[in-house]
Amino acid sequence: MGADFGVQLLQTILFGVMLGGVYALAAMGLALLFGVANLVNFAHGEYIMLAMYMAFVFSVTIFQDPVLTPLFNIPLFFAIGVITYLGIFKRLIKAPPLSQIAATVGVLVLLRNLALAIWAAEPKAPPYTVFATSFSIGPIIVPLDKLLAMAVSFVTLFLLNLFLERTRLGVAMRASADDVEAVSLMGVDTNRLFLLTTGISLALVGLSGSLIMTYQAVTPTSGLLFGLLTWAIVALAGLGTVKGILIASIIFGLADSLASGLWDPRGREIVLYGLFILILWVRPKGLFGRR
Amino acid sequence: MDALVLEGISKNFGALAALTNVNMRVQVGEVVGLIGPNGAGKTTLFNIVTGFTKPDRGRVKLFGEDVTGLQPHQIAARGVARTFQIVKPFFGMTVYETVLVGAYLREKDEDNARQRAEVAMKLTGVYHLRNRYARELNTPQLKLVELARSLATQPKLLMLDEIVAGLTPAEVDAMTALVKRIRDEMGVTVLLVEHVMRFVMNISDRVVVLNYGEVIAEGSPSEVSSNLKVIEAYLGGKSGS
Amino acid sequence: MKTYSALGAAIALAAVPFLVGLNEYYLFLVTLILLYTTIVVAWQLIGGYGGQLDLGAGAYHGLGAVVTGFLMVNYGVSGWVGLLVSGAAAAGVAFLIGYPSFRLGLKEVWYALSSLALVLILQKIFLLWTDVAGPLERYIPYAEFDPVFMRAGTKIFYYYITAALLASTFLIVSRIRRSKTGLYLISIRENEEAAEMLGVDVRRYKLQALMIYSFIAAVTGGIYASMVGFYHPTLFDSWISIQTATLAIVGGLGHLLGPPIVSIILLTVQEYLRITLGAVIIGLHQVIFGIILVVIIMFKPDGLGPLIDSLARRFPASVRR
Repeated sequence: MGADFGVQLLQTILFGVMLGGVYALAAMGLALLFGVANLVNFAHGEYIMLAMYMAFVFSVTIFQDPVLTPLFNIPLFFAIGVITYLGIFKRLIKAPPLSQIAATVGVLVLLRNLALAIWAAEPKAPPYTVFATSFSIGPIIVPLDKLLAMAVSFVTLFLLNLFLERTRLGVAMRASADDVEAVSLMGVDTNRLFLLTTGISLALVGLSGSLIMTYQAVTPTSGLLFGLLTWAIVALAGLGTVKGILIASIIFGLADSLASGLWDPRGREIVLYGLFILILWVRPKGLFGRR
Repeated sequence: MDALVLEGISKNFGALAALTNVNMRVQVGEVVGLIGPNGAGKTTLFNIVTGFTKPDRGRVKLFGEDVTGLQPHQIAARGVARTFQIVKPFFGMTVYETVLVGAYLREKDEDNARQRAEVAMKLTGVYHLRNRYARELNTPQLKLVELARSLATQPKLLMLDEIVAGLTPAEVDAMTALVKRIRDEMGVTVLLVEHVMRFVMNISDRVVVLNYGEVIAEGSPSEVSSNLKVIEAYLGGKSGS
Repeated sequence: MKTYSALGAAIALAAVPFLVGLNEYYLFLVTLILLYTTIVVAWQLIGGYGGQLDLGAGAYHGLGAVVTGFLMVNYGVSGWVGLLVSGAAAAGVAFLIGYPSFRLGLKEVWYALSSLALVLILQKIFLLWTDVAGPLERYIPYAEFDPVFMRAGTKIFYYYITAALLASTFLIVSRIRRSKTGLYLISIRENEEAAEMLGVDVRRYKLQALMIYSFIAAVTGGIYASMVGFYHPTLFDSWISIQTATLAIVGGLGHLLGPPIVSIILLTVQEYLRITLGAVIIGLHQVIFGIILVVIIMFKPDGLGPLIDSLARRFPASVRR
């Protein structure tokens, strides 16, 4: 009994870490846009939902295997980011938070119902990938597809970190997160900077949509779940670093996995959002006092 | 009788010492000017008195009562009003409504509150703007509205944070006359933070000099302006302006 | 002038059931529209005046439905009593969540998110709490016409209850708007620090606004449950939260007439689209609804309130001439 529980616990923890690794990518997209462009995107979760649907569509039509869907999702969502920026976000950059929330809630309504109109309310899941096998380490089972999803996420975050620290553009982005005015005084075209930031933010979302599909099916209301979850991660991590986002994501991945595995899958949202509210109470300003 | 007493106030922001062991007194009926270079801790001191910032050490006493750690609205209820260095207008409200918010602090009855608000608007010369929205006003007008709403709370101690910054010399003179009237006719004690020397020296009974979070000198305006240490700290710090 | 428009509005509200030919289905729809409009009007207190973008409407509405329904089903308690009890329960929950939130300085996007999280948390709690709700719909005993129990076969009964609730909510909100409390709330929305320095107890007034609004939102939930005859955890509906806030913003934050007028018009449009298009493609009506919302918010960031004002100014003038 005790040994069984120990195995189950280890298994759940492993799942939690792998899940958190995937959440990190989705949350990074949000943190980037919020940090660099100071833009509150309430529809972030809806973009994740849309990315999951696109992963589903590509995997049943062109590829027959979800593993290749990022090849389409990443450029597609970069493009969606550019369009969203030019069409909506550009006007919102200097607007007060309330207007940003209002307008992006409008986008949320639009995307959620668009998904409902196209795909209806039933959950959609992609076909199994060729990697949907598993191996065991002692009594612990390691699913290969989920391990790969985490590895892809980690590699992407590592590359993003390099980009933010080593390239001119990345440095400008980080500087903008500290002080937008100083950056524009330095001669950086902030409009172009924010355009690229939105593109990268949503490209990350595109990839994360593909990866999250290895865990769960998508419905039009998935957007709300992932929206709140990514905001919760950003609230815990602050905008500081890729590392911070990663740690916070793993904490939420663990909470998610432990709640579903040891309590009741229907209770996971109580745990995740309860944790979120507690974090907000402890760190009400979020993000190391910004905003 | 002391309006305000600060005893050993210290405040650090991280490694930065904003205020170190500040002791200060403002007597009832006085006009006290608080000067010092940028970063000397003047606004921090205002924030501590009004309850926006908690001091690390030390006590704040208002009219003999220890008010350390009270919230700003509780400080306001004890007779303190303040204006802000960067104006904080209610953009979506008319001037009348703005001043009425202040008046409601001591007048529970609406008619009395309206009368009180009108008195404050007339005194500060913004009565003709009463139906305009704050977002339509310029900065000097907004400063007067901020003063009007503060006066409408019927304060015993009025704290002015750079009220004349950015005003023309003529407007500074008008403000000088106005603050004198407020002190003389309403018996309000005034503590002001200011960079404009002409204003401070003209209006203050006493001047306190802060530098790097410490009180380095105090006295009458003439004493202080002749104090070499002050000229070094203040004028030197402002690169000879 | 004011009394005339009030009288006109009252007559219009009273006449609606006859305008839809006493058709039960249409009566159900117009009652729904008025219920949701009531939440929008009440939301003005916390959102429009207090400036806190609350997304908890679905939580309080759901709480009203579940508590009222539970009392009616399990104890045969009159729905009227249920409305009061559930309103008090919602105000209690609002206090429990609002007190720490306001005390710890939660605002803007973080406040909005935490209130939205509340909706989903309560939904799952009641899904797991099978003694009170659980995954199955619970049916309220049927009565052909029992006004004391607050249950009737005809929707006209619920229509008039809702119309009365909307009218009284509007009166309460407009009264508060003109009072010291309303002025204080708006000053909080405009600048919290400045308001606090003028002696406004920011937390207390935010909490007051939140509690009154949550009480009214719960009452709408109770009426809803009694009208449809059952309750279920899905009545903790995040969509109601989002709809409420967007309609209030489109109507004009803090505008007295804009939000109810815009709500009634847009919700009617939404229902019309649903009837005509919903059968073709599920959700299409809400896509169009979403586009309408985004376009209005993008191009009229202050909402339609000012537009309504200028129309209202023009209208009586042309009549007088």
